[in-house]
Amino acid sequence: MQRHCAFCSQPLTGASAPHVCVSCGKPQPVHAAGPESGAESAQAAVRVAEAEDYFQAFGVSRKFEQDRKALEKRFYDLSRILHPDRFSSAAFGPEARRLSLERMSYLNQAWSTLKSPQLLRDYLLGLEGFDTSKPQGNAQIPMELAESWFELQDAVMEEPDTALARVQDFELGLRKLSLSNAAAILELEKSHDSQGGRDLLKELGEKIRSESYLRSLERDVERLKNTLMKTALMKKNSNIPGAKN
Amino acid sequence: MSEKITPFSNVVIGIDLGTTNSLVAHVRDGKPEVLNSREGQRLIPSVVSFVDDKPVVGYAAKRKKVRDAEFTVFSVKRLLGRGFEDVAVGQDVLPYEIVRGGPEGDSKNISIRVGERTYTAIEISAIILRELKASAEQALGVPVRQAVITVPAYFNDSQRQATRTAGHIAGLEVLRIINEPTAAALAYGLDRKKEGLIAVYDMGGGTFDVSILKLHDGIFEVLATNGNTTLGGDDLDQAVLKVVAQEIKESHGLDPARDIQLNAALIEAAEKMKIELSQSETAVFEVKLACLNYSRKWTRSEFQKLILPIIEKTREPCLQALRDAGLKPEDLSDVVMVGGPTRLKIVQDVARMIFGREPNTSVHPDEVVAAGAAIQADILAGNNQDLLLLDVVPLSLGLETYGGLMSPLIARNTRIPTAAREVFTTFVDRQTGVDIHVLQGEREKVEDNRSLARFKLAGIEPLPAGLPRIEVMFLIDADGILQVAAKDLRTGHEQTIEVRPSYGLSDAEVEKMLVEGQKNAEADLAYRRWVEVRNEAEPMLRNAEKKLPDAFRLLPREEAQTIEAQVLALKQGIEQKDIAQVQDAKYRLGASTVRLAELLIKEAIESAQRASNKI
Repeated sequence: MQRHCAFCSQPLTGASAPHVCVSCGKPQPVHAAGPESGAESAQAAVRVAEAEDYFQAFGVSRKFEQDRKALEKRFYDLSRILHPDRFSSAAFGPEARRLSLERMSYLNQAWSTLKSPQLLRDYLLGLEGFDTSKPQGNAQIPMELAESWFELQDAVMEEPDTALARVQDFELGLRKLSLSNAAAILELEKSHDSQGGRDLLKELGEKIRSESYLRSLERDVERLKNTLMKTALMKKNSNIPGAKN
Repeated sequence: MSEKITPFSNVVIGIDLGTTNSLVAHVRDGKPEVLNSREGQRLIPSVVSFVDDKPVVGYAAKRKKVRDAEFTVFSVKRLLGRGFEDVAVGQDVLPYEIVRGGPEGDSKNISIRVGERTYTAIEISAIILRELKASAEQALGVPVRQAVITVPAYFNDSQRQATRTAGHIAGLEVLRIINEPTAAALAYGLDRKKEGLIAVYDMGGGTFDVSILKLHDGIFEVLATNGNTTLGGDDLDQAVLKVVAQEIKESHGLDPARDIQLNAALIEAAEKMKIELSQSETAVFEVKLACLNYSRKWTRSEFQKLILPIIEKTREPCLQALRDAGLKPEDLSDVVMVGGPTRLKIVQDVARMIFGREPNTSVHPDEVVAAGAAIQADILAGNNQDLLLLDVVPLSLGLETYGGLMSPLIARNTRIPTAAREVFTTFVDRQTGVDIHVLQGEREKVEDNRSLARFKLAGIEPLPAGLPRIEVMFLIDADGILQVAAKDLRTGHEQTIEVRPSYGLSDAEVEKMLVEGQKNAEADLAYRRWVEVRNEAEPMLRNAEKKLPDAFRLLPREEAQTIEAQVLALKQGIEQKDIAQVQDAKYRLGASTVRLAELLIKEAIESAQRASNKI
């Protein structure tokens, strides 16, 4: 089988083939004999070396939905070519080793990002200029929700008897909101994958920010509920005769 | 020495540098095999004993553990890459004296007192590695320069660096540091028939590791790892020792903690008893010394009750590793038991309870790690393209931030090699340096984590505060060891950073030891050659001396006198340890006694014939 240079894609020919490329002079990684060996894997390795982002490194388009089984297979195939273990023998110099270290480290970072739907989402938005980690004013906090949360906290103080039921109601409402938000995120991702468009990404960024607000609110409500339940339990115990002994 | 030496031989060996025992292995025809030590054994006890400042390693040293306790060092791996504060915490109950200060008197480092001298843990480890190297060279008949050395997966950066340095001092190019459970998995899955998710439960002499791996088409991918670097078989012996020491104190009025020889004898007896109890229901703990005659019967259940709390400490690391891998115990297809203490039934019971399945005890618990190291060595030598290890960093890496907190940069269980970038700037106008403190660990507060390195980004242009932008890249290489590089983003200038490990040795110290090591190696080699020459010459001399009267009887006087002179020369050469003179005299004597030998044989035959004629 004709093999190609892992760095410049030229066919490996001449007396030193397949160990050194005559076109660019670079020593070649030793290939694993697999279905992707040869030209295809060499090109895959070039892609990692020249990639401007993680999607390019894996040779996939900038989309939210990815075939993770296929990505995993590609990750393994590329690892077989690029890993520093393949450049350890005396045939390779320090330069080849340094490149391998850099490329494998990039590939590892790329794979752990693309593997996780959340990390991929943040990464893709970041590439497009929408940084979801920075809060942008209060725009993403649904005002209505924030107000009813403050009301709930007041009510709990004033009417302790109905407090737990109110909190549970609020929690239910919150969960519904979270679910519809999550559904909206998936919908936006799908639309973006099929038609693209910066407006969709902007909206998605907002939804993601409100998701993180909803999540922190859920934690607060959970904490409040636990306190109320503990108080109720203590009250109940103190009513049992002899419990104090 | 062997004559098969080829200067271009490219043998890469695999070394399991253990707390209690070490092994060296290599791959022949695709199969790993453990190499015999110079003592003719498979295991080399990781014990170094000093006789007149000269180190002895292995069983020979282990035999001196009690008699020459003051000059014998063992379990040194527990101290490798650790600082005085770590060791002083108290969980370490090594009987030898640990003193503050490294070779440059730096107070964070530690040394071990041996008689009048002190040695660092790195130096002691290097002595053991040198013995392993020599064993491999003897077994293979070629010089060995390159090695893969295993470390506990949960070893931090300093401990890995220290291992690497020890290898360097021993004259080895360490091609890779690999994790012990990963190595074990490699040997376990070598035939590529095993696929799926496995856990490796690895309890050694001094450390415990658990790794979760995915085996797929020759790829060994570590998903998560966890462990405890101060938990192992030694601790089981210590638990027994504690009970016994108390009894001896009460009944005999002796305090083993104050008597290094007694203490060493008790540790040895505890170890022996532990091994016996893995086979039978009862065992006798016995110590016979001049000062003490003590024996006590133990049942297995009594022993198990005593050590169960220690074995239980492996549960949390196992569960954490599963959580980090996002797996439940039932997702695993096998739990592989590695390390000597996993021979104990109680350890297997605990593993069975943690993972809810029968643990696999089919791999050789002592040899599988060395075998795996040899396989990795073969891969690195370029001989095996089918297999590939993908490993992770065991502990999170971070930086000290304002308020004494650690801000994580690379999370634990991140695939290696990996890199993280951080941009630093100045806080004061015209500030030209920024201090950076790199930490490793899972805790919030700086002081609860391990300090890896401190360095200063120097030579920053004196600009208004916040304007300089220095990008620092933290790279964890395939050995799990940190490398740092910095770049001024404004000017594009690369900055060189000298990262001095918070513990360990400076480059200058390493160089010094390397030179000493080579000197010692040369001296050792010369000595060995002399012994070989002497061993040949001495019988020849004795024989020739005995035959001198025959020479004067059978040969012309002149010829006999020549022989006499050569015998004297040989004798003198041996006395003066002059290899050249001995070799020369041996050669001449051999040539000039040919006729004498012939005459003697002829005489013997004739006398035999006369004797038979008489009958």
